[in-house]
Amino acid sequence: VNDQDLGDALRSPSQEMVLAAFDRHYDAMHWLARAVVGDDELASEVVLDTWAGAVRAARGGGARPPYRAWLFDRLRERSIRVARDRVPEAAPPGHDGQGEFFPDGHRWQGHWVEFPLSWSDRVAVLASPAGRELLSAVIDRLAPQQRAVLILRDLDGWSVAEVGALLDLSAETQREELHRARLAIAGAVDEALSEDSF
Amino acid sequence: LTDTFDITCRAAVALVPEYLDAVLPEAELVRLEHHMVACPGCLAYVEKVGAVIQAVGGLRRQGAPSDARRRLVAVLAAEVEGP
Repeated sequence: VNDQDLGDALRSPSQEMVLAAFDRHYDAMHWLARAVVGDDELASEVVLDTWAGAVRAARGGGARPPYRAWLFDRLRERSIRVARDRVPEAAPPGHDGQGEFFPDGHRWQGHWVEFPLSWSDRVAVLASPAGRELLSAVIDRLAPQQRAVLILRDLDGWSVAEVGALLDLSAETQREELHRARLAIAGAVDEALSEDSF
Repeated sequence: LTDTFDITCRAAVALVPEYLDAVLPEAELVRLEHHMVACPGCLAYVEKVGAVIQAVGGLRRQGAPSDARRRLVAVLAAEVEGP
């Protein structure tokens, strides 16, 4: 993603350019807004208001690079304002999917007690409509910081530096949060699929 | 089993986040990759995390919903026209 292209689109009088940039960023913005406000429709309003405000500000000379971080920072501020009076979200899932290793002193210390389940058949399952719904529900239950890092890095393809600038997180912290999030998802998916609901 | 591997599965798993971020130092990268060749458990672990990354990436929709696009166009048009 070329950040300057986003800046140009925000300032552009061309509706086509604005909409192309809106298309490109809508999904990640909606995910993040929903994570804060806890509601699909309200999140759509937040994204729309953020865009309208950002275009207005950019056309008035108020936008500054990096534009993606600037735009998402506005989204976060607006989401927090909207969510302020809403009920706190549910607790995140407790399991971490890490698995178990033989204890120190054991002949096989530090090695798997049981190998992790093979996921060779999971990718296709998770790409199905029911699988996507399951994934979305699991992501919604992640701890807020884990969810934000996951959405920006794995869903929207942000770089470590960009996420660091937006969320004020070091590369190490992002790595830890991202890995916990991925393991929590893997654990929740294993649990759901083992219940034979698919 | 312990003689087969240069590192334990626990130690191998601890390297996976840096491995996936492609920031693992060369020496540890070689140790982890050697370990995974011999250890189906750790290979399955890495493949599982990779599958999660792929699945989450696949959730991203291409483009905004048509209703949201229409509404943004209306808002922007109203601003150009003024009160």
